[in-house]
Amino acid sequence: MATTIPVDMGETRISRSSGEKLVAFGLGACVGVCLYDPLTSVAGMVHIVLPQTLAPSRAGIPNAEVSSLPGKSADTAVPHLIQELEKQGAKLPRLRAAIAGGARIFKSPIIKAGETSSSLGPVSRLEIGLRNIEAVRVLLSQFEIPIFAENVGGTCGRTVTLLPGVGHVFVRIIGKEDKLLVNLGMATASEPLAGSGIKRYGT
Amino acid sequence: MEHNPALDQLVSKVKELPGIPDITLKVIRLTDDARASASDVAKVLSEDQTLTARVLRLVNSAAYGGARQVSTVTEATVRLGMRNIRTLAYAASCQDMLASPLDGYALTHGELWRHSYACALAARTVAVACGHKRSEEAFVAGLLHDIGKVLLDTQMKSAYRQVAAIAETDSIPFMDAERKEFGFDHAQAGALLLQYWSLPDILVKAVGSHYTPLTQLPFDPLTGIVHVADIISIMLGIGLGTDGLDYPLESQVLDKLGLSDGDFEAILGDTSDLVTAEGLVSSYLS
Repeated sequence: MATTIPVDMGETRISRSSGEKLVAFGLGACVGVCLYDPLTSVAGMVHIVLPQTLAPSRAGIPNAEVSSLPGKSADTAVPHLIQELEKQGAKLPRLRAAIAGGARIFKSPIIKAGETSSSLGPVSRLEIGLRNIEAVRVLLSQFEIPIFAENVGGTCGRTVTLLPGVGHVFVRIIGKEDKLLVNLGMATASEPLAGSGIKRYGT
Repeated sequence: MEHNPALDQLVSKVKELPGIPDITLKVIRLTDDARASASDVAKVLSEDQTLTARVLRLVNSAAYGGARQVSTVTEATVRLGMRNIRTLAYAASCQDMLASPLDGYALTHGELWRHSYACALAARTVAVACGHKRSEEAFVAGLLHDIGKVLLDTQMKSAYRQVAAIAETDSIPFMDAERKEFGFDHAQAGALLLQYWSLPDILVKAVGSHYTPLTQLPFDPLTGIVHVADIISIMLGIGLGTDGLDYPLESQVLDKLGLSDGDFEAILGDTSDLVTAEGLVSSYLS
């Protein structure tokens, strides 16, 4: 049985061992980004909390033990994840992505396949889930990393699992069973996200 | 709180309301005694080292955001006062209860405690950010806000599908669906339990109305703080159950607390750092 490597809020984890699995438990508005290099089987996951780096709140930082990790905000998390994967032999042009999470609290407008925050018009700053998804999409696009599958939005909590040996990504809606979202090892670069039959938006 | 016969029935059905340890009861008696000193409280608590350690951890989280500044109960009592020590002793006594698995809500062992602790840290942060003077009280209210789920779990096990169906069909939040199905929700159930334990009215009110903070007239800042903190810990995904994020944020509460949307986002970010610093990571559950 594979050893579970938890990927907690703000954490970045890399593995190439088929004896391990990377797991981000209980994603709410946070987004789990899975990147995979099928040639080297190097896999990485980051658990993003916010779309962009912010100064601490007015409450201030209570003590020196509290600090932010590079994976906390999308703007630093995605470059950091890529850098860590490259240290383990992955190559940027080969990376493939799958993302999950970005759930929204009740009464948030429901997004449908193909829609993005920009197509919905101005988005409240309180829409952190939606803004996280959008920030991740933009950053992955900047690095020209194709997103092979998404399971985002809705109001459900999710757990996402990435198996380094084979590139399988599973998503479990809390209270339900694990479901295969995508096989990043087998999927081909020509396979488009739209119309691929892969679960993408909400539940 | 309004009288609710369905809620009374729940209490009578719950044959074994979670017990409070003798040591905690002794602490409560002492804190009621005007002649008792901080060292008297320390002496009683020292009879239970586990409880003492739990109380000290909570004191450091409540007062200092996790820095280990207080190492004795005497210091803690002087810092926080008898009333807060009494409530934190209650909260520490609830840890096992809050950590128990709740199948009805699909919460595994430790999940509700983790959610409660994250909410407490968020509540403290919200309180400090909005200039609320009693941030320790906000911490305690956050810690106990969902205790009603423990009471409701047995009913939820058989009724979950029905509650979820009501929420979906009527497009209402999960909490409203609970109220439709049971005649009360887990916040009201929690308030009843706190009332039964004779905890301060301000805590009973904050726990009982944390999903409906605007129903409190005049507006009660502590209830509003717990509401915002709960939504933050839900959005962070800490201790999410089958009800997921199906809870509304009353954004007017932010205005009433003098917080902007940007403050909300920054507090969410700070809370994630605090949760990490407190070691409330997912491996905590294993």
